[in-house]
Amino acid sequence: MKNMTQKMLAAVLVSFGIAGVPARAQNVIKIGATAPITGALSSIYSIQGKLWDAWTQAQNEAGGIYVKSLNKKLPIKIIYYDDKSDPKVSVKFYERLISEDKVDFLMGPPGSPIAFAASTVAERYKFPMIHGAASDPQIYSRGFKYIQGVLGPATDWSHYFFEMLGKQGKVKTAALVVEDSLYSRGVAAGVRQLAKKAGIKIVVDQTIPADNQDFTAVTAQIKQANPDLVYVATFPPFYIRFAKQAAELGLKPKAMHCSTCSAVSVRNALGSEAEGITGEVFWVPGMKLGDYKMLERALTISGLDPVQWTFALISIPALEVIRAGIEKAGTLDRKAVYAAIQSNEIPTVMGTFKAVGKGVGTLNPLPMQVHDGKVGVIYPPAAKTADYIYPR
Amino acid sequence: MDIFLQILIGAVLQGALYALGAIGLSLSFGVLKILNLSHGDFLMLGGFLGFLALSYLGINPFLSAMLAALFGCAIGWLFYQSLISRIVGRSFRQMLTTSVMITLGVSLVIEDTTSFLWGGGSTGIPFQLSNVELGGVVFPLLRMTLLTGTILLTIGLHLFLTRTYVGRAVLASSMNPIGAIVVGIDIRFVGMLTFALGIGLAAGTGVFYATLYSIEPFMGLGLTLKYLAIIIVGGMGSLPGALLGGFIIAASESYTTYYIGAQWSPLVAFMILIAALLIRPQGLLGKAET
Amino acid sequence: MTAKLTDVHSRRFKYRSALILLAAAILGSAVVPILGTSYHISLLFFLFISITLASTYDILAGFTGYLNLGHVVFFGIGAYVFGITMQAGGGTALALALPPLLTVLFSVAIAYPLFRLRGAYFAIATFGILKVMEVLASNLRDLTGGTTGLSIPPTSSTEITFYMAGGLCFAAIILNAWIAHSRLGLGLLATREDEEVAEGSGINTTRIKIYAMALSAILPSLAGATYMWQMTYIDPASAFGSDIAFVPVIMALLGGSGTILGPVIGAIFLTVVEEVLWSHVGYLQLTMYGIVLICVGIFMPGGLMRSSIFARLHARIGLPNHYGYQPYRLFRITRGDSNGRGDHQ
Repeated sequence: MKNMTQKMLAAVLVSFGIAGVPARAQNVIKIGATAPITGALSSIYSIQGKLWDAWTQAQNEAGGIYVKSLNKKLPIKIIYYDDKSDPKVSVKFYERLISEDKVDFLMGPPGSPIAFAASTVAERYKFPMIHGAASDPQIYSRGFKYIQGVLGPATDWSHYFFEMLGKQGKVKTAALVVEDSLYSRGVAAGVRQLAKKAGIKIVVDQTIPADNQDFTAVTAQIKQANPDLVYVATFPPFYIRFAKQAAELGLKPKAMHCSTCSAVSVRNALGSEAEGITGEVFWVPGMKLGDYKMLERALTISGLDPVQWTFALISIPALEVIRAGIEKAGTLDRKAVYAAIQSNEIPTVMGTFKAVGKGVGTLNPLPMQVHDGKVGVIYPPAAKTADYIYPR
Repeated sequence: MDIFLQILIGAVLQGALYALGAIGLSLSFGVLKILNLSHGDFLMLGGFLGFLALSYLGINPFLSAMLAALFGCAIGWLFYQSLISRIVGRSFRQMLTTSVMITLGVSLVIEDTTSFLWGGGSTGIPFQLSNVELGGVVFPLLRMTLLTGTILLTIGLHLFLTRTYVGRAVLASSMNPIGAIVVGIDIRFVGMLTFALGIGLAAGTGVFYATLYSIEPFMGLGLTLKYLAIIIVGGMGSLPGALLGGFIIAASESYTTYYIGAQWSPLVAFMILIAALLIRPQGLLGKAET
Repeated sequence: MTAKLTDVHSRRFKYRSALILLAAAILGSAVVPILGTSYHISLLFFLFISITLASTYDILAGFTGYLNLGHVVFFGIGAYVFGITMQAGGGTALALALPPLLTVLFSVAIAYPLFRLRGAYFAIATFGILKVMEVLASNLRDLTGGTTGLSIPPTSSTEITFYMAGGLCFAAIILNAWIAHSRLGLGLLATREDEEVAEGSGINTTRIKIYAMALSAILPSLAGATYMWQMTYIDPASAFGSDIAFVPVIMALLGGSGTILGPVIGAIFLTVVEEVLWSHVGYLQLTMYGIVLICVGIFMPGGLMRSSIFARLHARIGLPNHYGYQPYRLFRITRGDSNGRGDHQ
């Protein structure tokens, strides 16, 4: 019996030992994060790790980040774990990143529900966390001081799109279909306001469970109301189902918008039905903002399609922001770097970042439209690569 | 009234599709007493196969459905030989827990490996047919053709189960395995056949599914659970029962969505399941427990 | 094949070994917050929750053979009740007292209809109940926050929740041991072996099954409340999701359903595997998980605790193996063997 107790204790201790050996030497800048590489959100972020590795390589090829207090450039290392789209796994790994891996900075996990949970870790340990793809306003309405997102609030998601529609003045009525999830609801809340401002009346407003398969009822409703624009706030799986059935049942609105469907997989799944749909995208090749050269290098190394993985790309501005913070503060001291981030305007590949209070940022996606199977940015005039075609 | 009919047609087709996918589960549970939690994953695999067939070989979904079904049968046979046959002989109580473990394990392996190889993202088969509109009600041609295909398949299956010797053996075994052995049916062979057939059907249905809806690597488990609900409501081991169950669930989901709100439709399906389990566990058209 | 009565009632003095082991484990866990890092605390916290869930699941599954696949519904309800009470300003004491109360009432309410079913049907129905709760949690936005989830202000210390979780874990293990030695346990075992005969012998099987379910509901609800206290955020997927539903079941099966240490070992094993293996290997984790499940299902369906090494150890420290040894015979058609009778199909 004593043997067994000893064995058990030994096994437990050994597993702790294997689980993490902290590195102490400061000759590398460690950034930690988790990402939903597997699980429910994996269809959007499964390559996140690959992108981070590629960016690390690109950054280190350039020698790393210059730290004035040490008077040299230090390479970076991104330590990441797969949170399996599960908030509690993410929390556990962030605790590990802080206490075992002893990272210097934290990036927030992509995915609003996961970020919601993980940000409590940042706040509890007073460890600054820079959020990329997590923009739901609820995350930032808790008065947390140690989280900073790069994105503008989810409610601003389509503000360029509606600005454009308002100016054009041809769209008067819209149907709003919302997938019942944290992020999509946030976007929809914004759409209701933005549409009103653009003089567009919302004639159908339905929120539907994310795994709904049959859209006959909703489609029938929309057909009856006959709006100019159908706006679907959702992710690709839901949209693919909806669009297919809409097409089958003869719903062909003059404009169809899906908040996140720039991916190639959507175009493949819908075939010709994808022509003319609009949506939002964060970055297309050809945009020349921020450190686009390093991003292009990272994309070449990893072989990833930036339009397909537009969400995963949002962490790049987060990395740019952390880097700028280090450079401006001249040190690796977290407080100083965080203060620098909060008080400076930082150019990123997706636009200029500025901390506007409560942890909210300023980056927003740009409206795009599918032409001939390809994605082009249609607004604002400064960034556009294609013209908006209406009706489809 | 128009919308009511529209939804009804949708539900009939949806129900048929559900039934086709579910019947395999029903038969294998009846014959082998195995709860195959990985059933939905084979549907997903079939769908992916159909997608690849269209993208790379230009094969239309109706043809690729048959290919997928054959492929599914082969895989099902392999699955049976390597894993299921090892646990068939155990006690019933053990069978439940071990079949849960093994099929759950298989489900995880399939889902995760597919996600890894596919790279992510959901997809569907982009195949459209033009529509026919009669008196304000749209008859989606694609759906109608699929419905016809489903009906033909169902009739074919029914004939197989009731007219051929092998088919009758399958049916008999699913109703009363011990009785079947007593009359001399080789239940091992029948079990293997049933299992393979069930998975083949799932894969074939998967192609239709991918054409109408979307598929993604992790969809399997949720679908399997819904199919379980359908076969319980309709009756284990009964093909007409699966059709009826499928229709009931599909109709209740659609009408709930329209009249009450989409967020309540999953609830309705489960309430029906629980009610069925309590009031009539053998299902509407199933045989009572012996 | 029978559960030997001598297993349950003899070896009273060998409990010393088991008690020493228990004391060592408690002591070891208690010092972790002092000696370990926040990561270790976090890790052990989730381990404690897992053990609580797996052990309490096994109260019903191990003793009666009824697989309550919806077991985590008690966890989810506990988490939400705690969160809602805190949000409404009820204070921690009330927020901790309500979950077990409401969950036990809930469990009794669903037990009456559920126990009219057997075997696979029971399992599916319990899973259905879980899904119903998930939909309710998603749709009753005003009460539960819907899919956006429920959030309460964070606590600064993780120690209280750590000790609570530890307490729950050890309570679950002790509860299992207590039932194994009680008349309730005997009745449950009899029910598992042959329900009709048990009824005939004068055991009110329905009543004791409901007791078992109610007992199995208390600790998970507190575990849910503790989880919510620690994480300060819950949403329908984390509380009632399909993925978390199977975890306690798998842990119990892996370790050995029907043994006292089985769920514990299963939980530890899976947690260790997750930490050691998965932190270092980026991909295909679920695949490996699945392969482990398949292998255990085929080669060790009785779980780890019933493989020869562990089974003897388990007996030597004085804990009864109330599932008994189970020789795995091939399906025989020439005689009715006890394996075919008394099952719940």
